[in-house]
Amino acid sequence: MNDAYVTGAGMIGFGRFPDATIERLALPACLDALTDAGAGPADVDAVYCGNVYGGMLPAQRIAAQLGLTGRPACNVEAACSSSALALHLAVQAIRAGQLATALVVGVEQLSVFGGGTLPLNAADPDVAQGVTMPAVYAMRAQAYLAATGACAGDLAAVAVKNRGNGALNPRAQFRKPATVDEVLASRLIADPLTLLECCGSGDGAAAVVVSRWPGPGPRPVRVTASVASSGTVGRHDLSREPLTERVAAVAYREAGIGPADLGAVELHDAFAIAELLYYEALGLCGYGEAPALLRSGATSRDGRCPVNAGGGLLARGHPLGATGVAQVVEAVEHLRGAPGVLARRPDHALTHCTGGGITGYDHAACSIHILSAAA
Amino acid sequence: MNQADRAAAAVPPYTVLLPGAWRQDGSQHAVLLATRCGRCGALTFPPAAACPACWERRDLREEPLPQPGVVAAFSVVHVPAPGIPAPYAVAYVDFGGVRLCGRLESWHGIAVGDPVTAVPGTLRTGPGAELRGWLFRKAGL
Repeated sequence: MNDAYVTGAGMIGFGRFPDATIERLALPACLDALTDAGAGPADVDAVYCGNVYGGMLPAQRIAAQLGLTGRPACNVEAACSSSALALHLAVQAIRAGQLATALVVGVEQLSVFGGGTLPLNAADPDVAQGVTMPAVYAMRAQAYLAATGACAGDLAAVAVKNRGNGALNPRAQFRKPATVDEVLASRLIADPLTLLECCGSGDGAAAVVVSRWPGPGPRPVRVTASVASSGTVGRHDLSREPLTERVAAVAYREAGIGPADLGAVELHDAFAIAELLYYEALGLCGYGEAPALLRSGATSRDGRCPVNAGGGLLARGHPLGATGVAQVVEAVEHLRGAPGVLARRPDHALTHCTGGGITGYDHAACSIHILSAAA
Repeated sequence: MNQADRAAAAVPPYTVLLPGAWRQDGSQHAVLLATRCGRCGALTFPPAAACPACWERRDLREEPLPQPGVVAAFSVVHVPAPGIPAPYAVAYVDFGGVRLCGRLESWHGIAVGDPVTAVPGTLRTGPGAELRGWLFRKAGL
């Protein structure tokens, strides 16, 4: 099996660009990633695109702008996990020796829908009844608070940390820090989640180049785990995240490391409760211990294992199809030691995306990547 | 009947949530229907053409979900799905081993663990948008 490396990374500043197009959003991110990798048009064997709402064939549309036609173009949709799953497929193909180098791009333009909650599949029975994504996470929050004794202030603390990180990230869509009082006083979206505990709606694009060779930089980034799974249908303990637990266990085994080895994590904080649930599901702490871990400062920018140092989905923004690769771009920058973000340069970073509210499932999809600085 | 009348008559004035998955039993009770697999015993909601556990296609029979169900979690929604006036409440309710997500008729006096039954109700209103289905109501009310 070949190794796979992330050799180039690029990402646009997230925001609202209603007059743009998917292609125009994606182009600068792709060019930055390709330039970073030192790749020319002849080096790219395939193009993978993660996108949800952009219509037919976004990979082909983007590839045409880059002259990357006449080769495989693969469109991947898995709700919020779309581009993480696209990366997983590219890594699999490289490991299997089917490709040497691939461009993976995630892109989304939600501003075309106006504001409010996401336009979900109207034919889904839960959606038809009025179940929104914030409502699904709000019920998880209710279950977690009841089961563990955590309080509303613990949810707010997640938003305070990530919005504070976003204020320091020039590419974040939401750059205003918030206090616990401001978070708790913002309007209720779905009880107990407030506005500032929910990710906003916006546009963005991010791209990486993945290759079987380490690339030109002084500190190559190897993909040491790439794991994806769908969720399961049935009765789940709402105060836990069994899908992430299961995918993380496979990822740690594949990378040969444990959660204590991680020096940076980008996880799927679409809603404040999610970060607490995923601390525990990723093994960063035990069940019910997430609020204490957060309070300890271990997951802050200057902590032992910074989580969502760029602001996460709450502050960087969550243009669905872009998020998975955007997390990887930030993880690559952490591993390379990009100045001014983390206090310590990590050797291992983990990115984690879930996705999709759909009748019956806990989540529709989950993808985890572990990236490691090659010696 | 002229053409316009016929066209109007052909369009039902409302749509039904998951037709075939429930039936009204009087005005105060909705029977929720599942599929029991005769081969492996799995219970599936909504009714399925094949058992998702063992893929049996023939030995399947309709079976009502046992009521009342039990509220596993609920939330009051303040920013609504398009076309539904807020606030309203959504809940996960367990009927035996089957968990349904749906709407509470009222969240006042509701707590996790409460028994609820399904009652016929209107989930969405408005010209051309009316959706009829069931709501969860605290048992004994």
